[in-house]
Amino acid sequence: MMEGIRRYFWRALFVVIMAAGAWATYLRFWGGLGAATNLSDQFPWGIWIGFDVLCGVGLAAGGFTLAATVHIFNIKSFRPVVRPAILTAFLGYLLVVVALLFDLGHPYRIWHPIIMWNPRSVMFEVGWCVTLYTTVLFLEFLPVVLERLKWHTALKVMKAATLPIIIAGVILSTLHQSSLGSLFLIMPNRLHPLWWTPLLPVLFFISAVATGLAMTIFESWHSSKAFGRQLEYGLVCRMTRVLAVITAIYLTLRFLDLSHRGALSTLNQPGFERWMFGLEIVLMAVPMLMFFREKTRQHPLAVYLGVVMWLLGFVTNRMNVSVTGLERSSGVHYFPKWSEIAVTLAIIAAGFAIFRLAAHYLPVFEEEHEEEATTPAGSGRIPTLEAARVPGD
Amino acid sequence: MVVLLVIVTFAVFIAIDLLLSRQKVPVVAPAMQEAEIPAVGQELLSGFHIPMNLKYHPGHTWVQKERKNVHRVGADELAAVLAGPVDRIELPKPGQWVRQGQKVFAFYRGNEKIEMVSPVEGEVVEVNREIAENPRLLLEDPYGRGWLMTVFSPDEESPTRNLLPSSLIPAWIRESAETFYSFQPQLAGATAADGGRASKDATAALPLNKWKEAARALLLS
Repeated sequence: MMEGIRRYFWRALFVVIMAAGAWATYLRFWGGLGAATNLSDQFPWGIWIGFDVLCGVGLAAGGFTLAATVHIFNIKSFRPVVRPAILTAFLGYLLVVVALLFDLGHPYRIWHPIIMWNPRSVMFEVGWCVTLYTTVLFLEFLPVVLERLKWHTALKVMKAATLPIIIAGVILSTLHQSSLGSLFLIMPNRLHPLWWTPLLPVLFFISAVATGLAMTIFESWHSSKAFGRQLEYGLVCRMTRVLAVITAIYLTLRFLDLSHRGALSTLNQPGFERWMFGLEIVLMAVPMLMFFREKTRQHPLAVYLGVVMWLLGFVTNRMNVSVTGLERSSGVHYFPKWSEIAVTLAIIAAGFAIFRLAAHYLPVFEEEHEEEATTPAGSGRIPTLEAARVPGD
Repeated sequence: MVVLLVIVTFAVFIAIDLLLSRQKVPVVAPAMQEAEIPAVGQELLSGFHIPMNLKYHPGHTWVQKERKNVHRVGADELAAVLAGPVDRIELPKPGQWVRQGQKVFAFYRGNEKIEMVSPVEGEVVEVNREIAENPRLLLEDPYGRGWLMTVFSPDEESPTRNLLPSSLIPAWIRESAETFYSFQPQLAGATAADGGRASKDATAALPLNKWKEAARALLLS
């Protein structure tokens, strides 16, 4: 009974969201930005940039975090979660591009930066990073499709190119995650001092790495429920520990920077900024403290709720940088129109639906196997002490 | 306000999902139930119970595949007899990455300890809390309730690398038993196994320094 309600509730909601999204899309492309949004010259970036792009890119960070962990740092135990993370990242970036098409005044000119260069613009770098990294993510995900199609020759070629592709991906996403912070560096007089800092690119990057881990845990939890897979809990526990450490580094940097710039005094000034700042910090600090306790890590539900809280904290941070921190200086109060919300929800719903389809039809949850030489069983020799010992032990 | 709108929207969706699927928690890599533990063989080799359907590391630990990528690990009966009645067993922490041949278990008699190595490489999923509280289980039921840890090995092949081929197990146990008896002062010289079982307190008369020496030689630690 409950299962039926659950299935039909989400399906019905999906249909409603997509229908609203379709109507909003019609409004946007036939009526223009003015008809479909509450954006203005004073406040040109709303939730399509603040949430869809800034959060979308951050939430896709699991791809480069885990690809680097497994393929570059050779920590093989994380191999089972690499493919879902890369799929999430690929879908995340594709949907960011879709969101950009909605937000750009002239979406049909999205290809211009590729031809008409302006190397002094941060936006130029962001545009190029999105283009290149989406391509790289496509190449990283391609082996899964080739495996499904059983195109072994093409798969071999792709596997040979794995490492350079992964390295390119890590470099590009590092550039991109940080350059989204750099975008806001150019408005020191507009962005509230609680969020404007020369360290923005570094803070964006560190929080993106942590978000990559959090998203991987989040999606492992949901995949295990949806597809009846086993949640490799040991792996999840390790990720939460790393997440706690990265959060500690992030928050330490954040507060050192705030006190160094004397921005903490702005917390005494009235206004909703300080409350939003408080919310952001609480949503990150509470899960961090939770994950440092071994008792919490032994409870899957507590870990899941902690991860959800962390992700909401991350979203709060990006929204604060892109919306809350800019409202006071712009002199206008921005609240998104229903069509902006509908488009955003439709993009997220499409992401979930495509992920589900991909997980159903492609070997997303199967690990890639690296051909390694193995000792033939029964080689007829008792392994020596040296064979059993680990060098350096 | 925009922030609150976004946060509340997601919090509501997640709360609804939790509410609707509260019966459906993720299948966490489970702790094995007693009933699920496959029966181990009853073979006796050189006076020791050495089930032939398990895999062994030369350091006298056994490995049993529990499911894909997950292996259960314990000490064989020879190691359990050698450890004898111990006061305390130190196990690795869940989540710890252990390498093959790395010292991971310690058995204490007072302040003195002997160590055992891990037979496989991987991440510790679970350790046997029961044995930590009741170390006697090691001697009483080394292949059942006396297991030590389960390990998640992402690589399907490597866990079985460097483990003994089954054809060599009898010879290896015979050799180990002879080494073990050679440490016994009252049994110095060659002795032949006559089909009897090793005594559970075979190390009672062994001085501590000999006990540690025997452990180093047999458990490769």
